[in-house]
Amino acid sequence: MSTELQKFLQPWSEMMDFNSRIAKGAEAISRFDFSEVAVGASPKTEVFRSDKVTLHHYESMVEGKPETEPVLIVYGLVGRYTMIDLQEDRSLVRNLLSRGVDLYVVDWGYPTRADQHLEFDDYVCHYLDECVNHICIEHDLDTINLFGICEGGTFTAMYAAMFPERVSNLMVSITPIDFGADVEDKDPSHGFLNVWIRNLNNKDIEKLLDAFGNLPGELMGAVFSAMTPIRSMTKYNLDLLNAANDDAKLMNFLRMEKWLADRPHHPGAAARQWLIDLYKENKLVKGEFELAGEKVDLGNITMPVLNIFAEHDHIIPPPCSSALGKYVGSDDYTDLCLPAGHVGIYVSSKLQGLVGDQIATWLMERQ
Amino acid sequence: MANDKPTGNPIFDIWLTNQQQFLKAQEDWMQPNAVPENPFMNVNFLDRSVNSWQLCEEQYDNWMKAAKNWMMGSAASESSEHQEEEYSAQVLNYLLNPATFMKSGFEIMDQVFRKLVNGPEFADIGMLEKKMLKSGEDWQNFKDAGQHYQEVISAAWLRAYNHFSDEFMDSLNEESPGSEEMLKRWLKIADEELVNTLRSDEFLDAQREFFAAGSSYRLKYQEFVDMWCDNHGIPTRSEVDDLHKIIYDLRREVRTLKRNIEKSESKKAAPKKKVPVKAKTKKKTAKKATVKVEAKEAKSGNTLPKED
Repeated sequence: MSTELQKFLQPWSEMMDFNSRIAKGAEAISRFDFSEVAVGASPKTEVFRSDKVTLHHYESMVEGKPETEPVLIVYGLVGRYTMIDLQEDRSLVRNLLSRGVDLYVVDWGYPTRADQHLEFDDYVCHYLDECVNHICIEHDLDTINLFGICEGGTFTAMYAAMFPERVSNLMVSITPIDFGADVEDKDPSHGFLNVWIRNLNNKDIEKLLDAFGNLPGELMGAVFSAMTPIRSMTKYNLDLLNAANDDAKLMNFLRMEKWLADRPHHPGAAARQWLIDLYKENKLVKGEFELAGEKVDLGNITMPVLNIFAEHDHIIPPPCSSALGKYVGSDDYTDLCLPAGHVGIYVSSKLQGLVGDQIATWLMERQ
Repeated sequence: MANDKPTGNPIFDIWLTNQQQFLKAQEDWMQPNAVPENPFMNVNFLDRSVNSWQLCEEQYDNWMKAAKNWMMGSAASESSEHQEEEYSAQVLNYLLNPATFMKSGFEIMDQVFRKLVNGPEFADIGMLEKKMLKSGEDWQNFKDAGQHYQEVISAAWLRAYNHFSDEFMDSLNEESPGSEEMLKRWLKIADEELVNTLRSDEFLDAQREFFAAGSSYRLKYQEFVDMWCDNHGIPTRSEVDDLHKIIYDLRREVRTLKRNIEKSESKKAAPKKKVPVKAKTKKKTAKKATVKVEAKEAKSGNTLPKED
């Protein structure tokens, strides 16, 4: 075909392709039953319950004894742990289980206004401690491994600092430790959460939490969307169109949507600490954050530490995570920086297997 | 077409302009008596154009069906744990309307926060109080703050659009870069403008005021609701919150007592034996090591997902 003819045809062809694609894609979606979209489906059993908090043990995927001591996965109160088990071929849970890691996960449940008074103290020193105790008793052990993700990483770091005698190895991922370190990140699209929260007056945060009791999940979802306006704008048209002509891609898209929409409320008292004490006043790295009447000293973290963070994380800027190395008392500390974003670190097809490999290898070297 | 009746959506307008220019350029080709050797003789361009727009309409109908399907699926869920799905369905429905293109992203925040602040409305229950409240200062402040917030955001979109127009509209008359490329450029420009706006003092002030005014209004509304409940012998929100606090404090007390009992009992129990797990390996000391995995080291596969 001549160049002239190609040039002539291009716009028309693009237009027709585009129209056909959107019509076909939209038709595919309209036939879809959204109730069939499942996330967090790896088989597991509830082994312990305390109030709304439940502890689950994943079914092993290998024959014989596990290769590691139990690992307890701790997600935060912002979002749900199902992100690490989004689907069969994008699941950190399955990647770890297939490498012989003995896995537990704590599910914080869905806090309501009745739970508005729960503080970090309750989550770290009570619920998390109860889960650790339960696993220790089940396995006749004194210590277990902790793996905290996002706010859950902050919980586990605090737990390891408060109860170092209960933790053999600490792994944290996409975890904020130094809440003021976003200023070191040169990417202007990173760290809006830090900037926006610092911009609020304490009394405004108090008022917001008083008005709703908790930090509403819907509001957090909206804030996350507002942090990436273009992505939010194109996801339900361009991204969806790209996914809609391929069943597998469409399911990936819908699973991610399901996870994003599944956003529990953050208990008010804990949100007050998260927003004011940590995001605004950065008390953890200053050694001023208190749990059960005691200051949390990150220097007490003397067990081996693996700190995984994402190079393109716009929610938790990498310097906020990598700061942990400066404060722990451990002489066995490893940073693992991965080329992904906040959620991409776990759901990216590129990194599937790699994260699981790195964690399992690091862990087994320390058994 | 686009020049006569802009849709208000820059991409659609540009797309329409493109099509108009393209079709105008093909007028000769589309005449019934066009030259026989014309390679497009067998193609009815006008019909294809009509088909193209029918596909557009069909697409919009399908989007609406999809949104409805989603919402019905969410509504079928009886558990309050799945309320978020309803929210997701609303967002989906909202974003499928091209008229909201200019305000996307921020509009979600505005919409969600307003919905949270206003709360539900049940027939005539409390409506009189709500009407009274909406004539007051708090409602006016919230309305003003919301309006200002939207103005700051709209101004950012307008700046982005002006920038885009300046750079590319002229070049469209010479040679079309293709709709996909145009979209990429538009999104890049808009992204840069919005990222700058999100850090600007003007935006930060507007956002702070919006949240503060919304919270104040919500608290004032709560006062009215409490008064109404009190007058009708219904437990007020404040009373229920007090009860929750009492239960919370009691639970903590029970927990402390239980823990003290367990501690005293564990002193009597024998110390636990640590059971070694299979294949103990020698500890490898990686003192303050940093491992940076480069993108090329990652396994090949699809591109990183958008939701990262």
